[in-house]
Amino acid sequence: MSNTFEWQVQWCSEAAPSWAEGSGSSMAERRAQQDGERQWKKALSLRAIAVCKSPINLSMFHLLDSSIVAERALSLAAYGRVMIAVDDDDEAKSLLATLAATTTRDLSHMRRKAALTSALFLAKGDLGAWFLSMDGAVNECLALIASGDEIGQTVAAETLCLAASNDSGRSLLAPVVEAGTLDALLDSPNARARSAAASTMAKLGVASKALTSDSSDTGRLLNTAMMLLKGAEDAATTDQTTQTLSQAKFAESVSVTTERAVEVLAALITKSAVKDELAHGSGRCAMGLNRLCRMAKDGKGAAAYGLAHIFASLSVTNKEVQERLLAEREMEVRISQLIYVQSESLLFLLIFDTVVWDAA
Amino acid sequence: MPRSSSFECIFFCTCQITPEQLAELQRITKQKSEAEEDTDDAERCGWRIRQIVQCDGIRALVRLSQGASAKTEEQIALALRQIAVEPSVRGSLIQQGGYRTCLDLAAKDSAKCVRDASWCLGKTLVTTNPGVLTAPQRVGCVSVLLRLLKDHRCPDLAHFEVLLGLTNVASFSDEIKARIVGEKGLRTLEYMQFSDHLLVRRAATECLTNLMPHPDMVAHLRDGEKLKLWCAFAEDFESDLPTARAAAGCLAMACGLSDSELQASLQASRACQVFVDLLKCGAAELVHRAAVGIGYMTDSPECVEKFKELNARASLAGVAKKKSPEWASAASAAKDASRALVAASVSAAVAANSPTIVEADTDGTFDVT
Repeated sequence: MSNTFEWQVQWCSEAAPSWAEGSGSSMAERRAQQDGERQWKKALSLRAIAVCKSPINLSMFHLLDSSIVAERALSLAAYGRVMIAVDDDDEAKSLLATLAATTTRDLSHMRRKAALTSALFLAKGDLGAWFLSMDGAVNECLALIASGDEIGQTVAAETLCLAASNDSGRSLLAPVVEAGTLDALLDSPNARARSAAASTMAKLGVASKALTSDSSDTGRLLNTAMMLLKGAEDAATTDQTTQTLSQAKFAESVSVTTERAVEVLAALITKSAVKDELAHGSGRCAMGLNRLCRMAKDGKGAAAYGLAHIFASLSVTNKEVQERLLAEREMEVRISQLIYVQSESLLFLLIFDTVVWDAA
Repeated sequence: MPRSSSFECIFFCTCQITPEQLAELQRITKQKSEAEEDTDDAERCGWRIRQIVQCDGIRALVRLSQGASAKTEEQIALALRQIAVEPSVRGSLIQQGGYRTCLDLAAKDSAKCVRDASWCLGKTLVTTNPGVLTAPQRVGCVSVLLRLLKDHRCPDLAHFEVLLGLTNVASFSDEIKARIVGEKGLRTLEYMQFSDHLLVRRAATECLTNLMPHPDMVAHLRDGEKLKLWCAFAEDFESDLPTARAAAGCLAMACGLSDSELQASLQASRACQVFVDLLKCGAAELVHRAAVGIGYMTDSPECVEKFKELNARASLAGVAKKKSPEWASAASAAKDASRALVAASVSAAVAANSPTIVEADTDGTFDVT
């Protein structure tokens, strides 16, 4: 089955032939190559549509809930590749409409749908948001989390985490926040679900500017991130033969947990209080900086950027960052920006009044 | 005042708004609460940087740079550059491999990454003895630093710090000087001498002075137009003493070289006048350089004549009489220059077969008529 998937992924993402890539020297050559590129994209799109209309699609969907981790990961990646290849979003939506419309209380089906949503978010964010906006999709995620099923909880929490990275996706998460699901997940024994929930909360908090230095959410998220890092480090140093999980699953779990913890810290590190706590150490952050340094193994991991960002933020004040950003953009605050800054002030009303008065 | 004028006044006054003013405005307009106000400062940041270094953070960044994506590399270069702000950790930055990593990052495609990595190298070299670096590290940084100097989008602070680093490393050996010149550094540094920023001009002048006595630098000074600029810098001690000190040092060194073409250019320039003027400036370091320059120039009879006309001996005698420790080297150089001037006058008189009177003073100085 895995060979079929690999073949299908390669078929839908085959590298462009020479006539459809590169940049010609003359205008006519460039135009011909652009046409070629368009034709090639169309061909790949037709291939992807053919895959989606074939029975392979159903097998892929079923394998999203396979008991074998590798198969689950493979089908997730395959779905992503196929959907990237479909160049028309409306076409993609029509292909997914049947799956999106099916609502059921069957745990396996809900897990598959949640996993498919993750794949779509990773491939095309807006397509993922559309899939999650379909009737009952968010409620199915909530049901999965409430079920206590470990895989279901993990898949649903990661879907919510990916949704929080997308503008359209964030607006769909209001019922999740209102229900207190994320808060509850922060205390879950399932490390992957816990890390995904923490990451979701951090992303939502950063997006809504709700996370202030003194808010309890900031403290809880920092606490969770540090616990996750500690747990991941302890797990990595424990003899793996004593683990009940398979070695691959165990390694994946540790890696994902670490990535999410780094993601949360990277979101919180812009707060000066968090910087000081991390560098100085506290009850929850004891050895936090040491742990982060040990975690930096190489630049290939998904956490590498987050770690580099954390170190960069720790070594600068927010004022310097602000000055640098203004200088980089060669920015002089314009009148529109000034009015924006003053939008709630009496001064703005005075100026506005003056302009209107003068115009009159 | 009409109401539109008051509006314009507010607008133009706030157009060049600084981050501090923006923050204050946000606070006043209640967009930023008192609790949210950021109290982080350079001292706390420096402390955090030292903690990072203690926890082997630089090694962690070095490990992260292996196989990293372009965006990650940008963050690593930024982090290393910000860490290098703290002078006390610059040694550790070299020891833990941060310097080597910056050299690698400076060869990447991303402009941001290259700029931050090069700036980090410049900062590190400001306070680092080049002797502790390996030969490839010393030589390898030259092209990187010069490339940053050519980047006009860089802030003046970056140019200034990189110039200081380059000045430091240029003083190490003739090999480094040759490397700087070989990388067309003379043109770049000369261009930086015309920067709008005083400190950049000063650092560029100091760096060029440290390139002496490289043959290309000597050739640069043979040009009368270039000498005019150097004389102008040396003369302008009132507006910037360090630049004048560097320029006077360069001129004095040039006077000591046995290059007939250069000596001819110096004689034709205003160097004699500048040196005599500097003897009266009141700054011991400048006077020292001027006295040394005069001492060297006594080899030329034309210059000796000029010094006579400018009454250089009286100024030299005044300096030679200074007793305070800070003037010791200047006084000693003035005595030597005075003796050389007398000797040159005597030999010139002997050669011309004319009578000379030597009057010896109580402190050993003498006068010739």
